[in-house]
Amino acid sequence: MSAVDQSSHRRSPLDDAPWPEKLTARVVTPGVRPAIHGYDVEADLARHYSFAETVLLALTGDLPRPEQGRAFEVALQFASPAPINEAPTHAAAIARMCSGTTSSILGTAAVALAEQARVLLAEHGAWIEALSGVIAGVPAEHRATSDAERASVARLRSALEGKVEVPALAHDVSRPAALLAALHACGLRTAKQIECALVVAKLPVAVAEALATPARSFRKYPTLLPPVAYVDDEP
Amino acid sequence: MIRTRVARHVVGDNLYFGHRTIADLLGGETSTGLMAMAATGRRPSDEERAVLDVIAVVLTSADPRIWPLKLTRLVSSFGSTLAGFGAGQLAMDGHSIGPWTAGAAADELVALRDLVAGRIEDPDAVQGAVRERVERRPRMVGYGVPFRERDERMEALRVQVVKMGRQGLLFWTLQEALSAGMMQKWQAAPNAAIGVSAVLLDLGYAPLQASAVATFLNANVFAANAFEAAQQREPLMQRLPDECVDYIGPAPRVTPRASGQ
Repeated sequence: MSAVDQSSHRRSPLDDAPWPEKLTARVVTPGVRPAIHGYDVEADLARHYSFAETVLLALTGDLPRPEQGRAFEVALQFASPAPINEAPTHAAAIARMCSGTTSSILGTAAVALAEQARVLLAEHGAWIEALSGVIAGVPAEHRATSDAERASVARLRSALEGKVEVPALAHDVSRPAALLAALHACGLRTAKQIECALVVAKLPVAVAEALATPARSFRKYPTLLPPVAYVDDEP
Repeated sequence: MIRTRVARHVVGDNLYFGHRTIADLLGGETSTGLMAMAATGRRPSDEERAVLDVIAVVLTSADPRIWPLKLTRLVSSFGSTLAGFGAGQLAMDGHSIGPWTAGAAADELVALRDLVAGRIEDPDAVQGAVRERVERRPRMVGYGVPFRERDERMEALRVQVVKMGRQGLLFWTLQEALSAGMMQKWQAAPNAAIGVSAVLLDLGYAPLQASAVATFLNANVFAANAFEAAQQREPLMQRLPDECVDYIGPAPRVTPRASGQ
């Protein structure tokens, strides 16, 4: 604190509170030999574990079994498509059109993906809770609504076979509900953990679509989609 | 020790650029003035504050179809005002659209001033410098008006500048000469960025301060769209039907691993 800040008229209540003097790290050991949850990144994890397994370790604190790690990779891949007609990729593509910087494009995509995931998890709150117990039935709003969706869930069930048990996939569940059940079965238990995994899965793809959008291509962008009607009545 | 001139919370008050907010600024400063202080660090004069208010109103072009505002609404469509507001601000970091371009436009006027080198009263010197700047530069920040012949914001700003008696100031004069040159050579009409930058330079702002203040004063257009979109939670903004996409990437194919090669 400078001398001028210590003068009586510049004394701040913030100065007098009992603050710790260090940041607290709980996951990553800083320094030249970084570790995640105690495991050496360069000498251990990088040699013996996949990136997806490291993500799972970071989020849960536990080393995944090999089958669990492979199941997580499958779930991330099923979650990865982030098409341009969904708001996160659409917004990131506009950031790119506006000649956005990398932080602008990545930031827009990440924030929107996290928002999208937050809403998805909020809509499936009871479902996530139910996944920790015995699934007796599937609420109507989480059931598959088409054969195409059932086929997608069947492909997920098949890809996960022999890796993790996902009892929920035996039911007629929607694709999002199935995906959340798969991530839960991989060891992600909280909404925040699952939201983060969804963002990690989709971010590279959303950014790739945005980067493929030419900068300043405003004339080739459907500006009037979706249509907006201006109303000037009082709220 | 990191030095800051911005602020310090003190007993019973908050200092803001050397002023006590409750004891000194409250009742005597406006939100426009506080925004200007964020970039200049000094209180604006009454005249300056009035000019800044003109800029804020002139720049209020909030149509949600305008791209950075569309981006704002897309991100806020999931229910968070601040997520979309923040993303919208980020979208202007590319320096090619939005009020942040006022800084790059100001750079053009500063370069022109340096070229004129004090001979502002000499029309030939000004014309010569303008010719040199516009030659081989059909695209210049602050010029070009999409979808219409003239930028109505620039036209309105010009009227206000005359009303306020600021049309004879250095950078406004240079802007008018440069705009005439760009129009004559490239048929590129001036847009609000060049006008706003000239006004801010004449207030004594540096180009970077011009970018910052123009952007801060324009926050209302992002706030309005973010707030409304967050309330609406419009499913069509969250996701457009697949039929709205024209896919032009590679045709469906199979990886070598899947095909057993």
